[in-house]
Amino acid sequence: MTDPQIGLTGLAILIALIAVRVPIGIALIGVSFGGLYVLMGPRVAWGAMSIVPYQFTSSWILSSIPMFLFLGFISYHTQLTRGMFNAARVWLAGLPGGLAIAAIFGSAGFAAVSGSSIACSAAMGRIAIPEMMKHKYHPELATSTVAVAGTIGALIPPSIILILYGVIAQISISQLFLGGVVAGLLTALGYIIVVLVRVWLNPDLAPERDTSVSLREKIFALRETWPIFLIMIGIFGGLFGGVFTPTEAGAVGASLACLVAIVSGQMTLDRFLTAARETLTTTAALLIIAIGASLLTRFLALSGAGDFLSEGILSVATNPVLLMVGIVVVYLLMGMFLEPIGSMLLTLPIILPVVDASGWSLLWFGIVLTKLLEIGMITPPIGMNVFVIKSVVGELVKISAIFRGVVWFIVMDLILVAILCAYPDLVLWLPALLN
Amino acid sequence: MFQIGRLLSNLAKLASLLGAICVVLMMLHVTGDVIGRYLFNAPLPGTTVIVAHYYMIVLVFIAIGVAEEKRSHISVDVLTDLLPDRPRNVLSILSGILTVAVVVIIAIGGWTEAVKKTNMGATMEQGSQMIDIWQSYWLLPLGAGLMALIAGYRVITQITGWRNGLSETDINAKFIND
Amino acid sequence: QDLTFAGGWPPNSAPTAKLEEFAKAVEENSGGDVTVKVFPLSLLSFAEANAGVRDGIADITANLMAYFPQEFSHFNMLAEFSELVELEEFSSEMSSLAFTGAITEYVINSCPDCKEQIKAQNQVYLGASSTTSYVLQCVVPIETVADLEGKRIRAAGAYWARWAESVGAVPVSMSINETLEGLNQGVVDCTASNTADFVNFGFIDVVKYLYLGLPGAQFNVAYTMNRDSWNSLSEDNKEAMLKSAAKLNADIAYVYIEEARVGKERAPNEGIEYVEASDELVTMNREFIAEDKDAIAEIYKERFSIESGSEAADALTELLGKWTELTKDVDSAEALAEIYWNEIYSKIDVASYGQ
Ligand code: NA
Ligand code: NA
Repeated sequence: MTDPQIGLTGLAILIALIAVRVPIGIALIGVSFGGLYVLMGPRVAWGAMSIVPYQFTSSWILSSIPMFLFLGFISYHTQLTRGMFNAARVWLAGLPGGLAIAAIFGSAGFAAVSGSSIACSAAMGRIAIPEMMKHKYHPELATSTVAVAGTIGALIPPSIILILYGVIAQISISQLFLGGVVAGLLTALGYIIVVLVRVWLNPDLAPERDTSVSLREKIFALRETWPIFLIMIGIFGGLFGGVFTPTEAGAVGASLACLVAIVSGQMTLDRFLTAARETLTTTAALLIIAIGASLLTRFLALSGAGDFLSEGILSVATNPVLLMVGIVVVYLLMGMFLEPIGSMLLTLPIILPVVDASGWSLLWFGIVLTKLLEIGMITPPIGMNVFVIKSVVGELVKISAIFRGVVWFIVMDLILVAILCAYPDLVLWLPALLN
Repeated sequence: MFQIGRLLSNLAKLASLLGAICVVLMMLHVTGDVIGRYLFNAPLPGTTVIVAHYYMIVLVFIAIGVAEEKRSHISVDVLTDLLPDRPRNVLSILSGILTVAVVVIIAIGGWTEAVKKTNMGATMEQGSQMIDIWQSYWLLPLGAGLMALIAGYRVITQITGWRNGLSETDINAKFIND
Repeated sequence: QDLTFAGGWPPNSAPTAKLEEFAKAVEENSGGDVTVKVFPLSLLSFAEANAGVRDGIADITANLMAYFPQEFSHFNMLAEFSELVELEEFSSEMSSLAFTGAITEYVINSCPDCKEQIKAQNQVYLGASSTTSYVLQCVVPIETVADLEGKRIRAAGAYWARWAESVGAVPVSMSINETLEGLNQGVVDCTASNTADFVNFGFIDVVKYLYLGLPGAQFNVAYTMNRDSWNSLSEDNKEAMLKSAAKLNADIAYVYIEEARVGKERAPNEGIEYVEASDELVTMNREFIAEDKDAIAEIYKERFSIESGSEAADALTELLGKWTELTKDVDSAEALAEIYWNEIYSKIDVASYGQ
């Protein structure tokens, strides 16, 4: 076998292992070790195993991941975002589908304290779905709206996907975050349009409108939103006011969330420890995949298979539109089955050189990629956000019904991806403005 | 055998507690550094080195065993769910064996590097200070060892059908973050 | 024979282009016997480079020895003496070329302890380039010694942290990738960075003031090769490798100067005050360096039991005199490579080197 053939064989084995349910991180590390062994001999294989796991993990920049996770878990368990949804609910009560729109607003708010999309769906699901059911919203609309609105969590900063992408692509994480703000808000806007259109087409989806809310109630509701606003202002004010760096923002934000939870009387020792333990297992589960992907990068580089694939893609996709369509299709297909961070880490070693060679902005690509990965969170058969919502509603709603409701939003997502591709400046203007 | 499972489960609990403490310490340490720097022009010396070389290593490697016990490691079960029980169990056992092998490799790799760093007395420089980091290299084989034991024990109970004493379900930990 | 070079610089950077030229030079000088494939960043990061080459993951690398205080204490002590280039008799735009020559010559000819250390890491020393001098790049003006009081200054290593503490500023540890944002948002007031990184890391877009001559000192990038790979080369090919290494030494040192010049040219258009530090500050700095020279020897004696500190400082001072003379009129990397080859590398006994 030639070296690139060894690399490609390794990739084939990797895919087979993942398909038979070997944990993704284990499959990546095992294949990289085996591949380096065959390719370069035992010394290099063992050398890589003794160097990379420690060096990759002992990273100051990556330390923001557990801290942002902790911030999200604390906010989730102490229900700091409940007030946000309530305020949106009261203010939007008069609109058609007002509660569903309020859920989207609530998710966008929770997104500002959570790095992930599942946590966002889970938090808003527990709060918003019972409320919508109470007002006789169609379960399909109620559940699917919250499932998709969760994906805003990975776009609006903080975002675990964007942090990992920034570390791997070597671009500024705060620039990525600014790009994510725009994409996240556009996504929220798109989802609101979908809700409005659906309710306009079929008013039975959201029959009850509450037009009797007094101004006094509205003002009163705003008072409950202070926890989330305080944390948001703390994080973004501190970031842009020169108090701390993006890496430090997670830890400061988590401290702030703890304080807010204590002051608002929501903190218990049990909730605190639960959040810390979840942070721990989630960090380990994510980082072990990232370590594996980092090892795979070395294996692909040394075997030449990485170059082979990248050049192959470039020679087939001869124009940018074709290349982009190819990328979208590949990620949609992967997103059907794979978990987003895994898919990203698996593919970046091959895709990044292609993007770089095409002369595209790596910042813009990071945002589009996140959007594509997040679509995978809501597509069948494996749509984690949908599963989370399903676990919230129990037997009340069939999983197929949630997936059916999600279709409308996926169409909007694809339109949005097309718009972002056609007008990259939509993403890039804010980072450029604040640089 | 069940007793071994309980023992491993308790070890995992200990690791989990240690890790949770580190999550909190890391938060306080970084926040303290920021406050010290911004308000008092006195950053805490060594923060970035300690965060990277101690907290991060604990958070990942001490916790991989805990994640193994709770079955929180991310895998794709689309295809296997379509299979009948028997082949699915066989695959699951093979996957467990591979997991043990890979984690043992990580542990051995980590061990050899830890020996080298210890002999050297490895340090890092931050500011004008030196901070010992060689100790942290031992956390890696330690955590990987725990994960290998737990995964290995699970394979054995799967093959023999013995009751296993691990506490595998952690409802909240299902919400893996993406 | 196929060798790999793992570089830690980004793929499209000027130093990476010089690594490619090194690869070409090796092939030419060895008559096609030896080829080198360059992996920018994809194979080993700077933090992994030392262990990676030790274990043979790559054959050659740019080794940032400052990351490994224990492993390379002798080298790091020598690198810290780069502060001497700020003294009046050595200070110039080209001082990094002189220090590159001085430290490479000293390590190869006069530092048996260095040989021991590099051998313990299973590697062979191929030389080292010095970056341009570290200067204060600030978002606030620093005119007087009093202005430094309480300023938060990003410090890349021990020398700069020591300097900041001694002048009453606050040294802040921050990775180079965060520094641009740190300056932009005011987490730090200044960074002590070299004049090439001024452009490479985009500081030129956010700082308002750049003060030459302050705090000084240079960063040292060593080139090291896996010892087994070195010993597998024939004597002719070893010589070809050394010849190419002389070129690499010169190319990287020179490219930093060229990048610094770009920054100096662009700065006025960006509204940046790119100036010599005030006399008051420069005088203070030279006084600091005169004392710090002895402090370095003391620190390394205490921490690493190195007794030869002051001896090495004297030897390097003398070599700096020689090399300042040799390099002061150099006008190209080729000419510089020629000097390094003639003065240092051509005199190496290839049969015994690296044994
Ligand atoms: Na977010
Ligand atoms: Na999916």
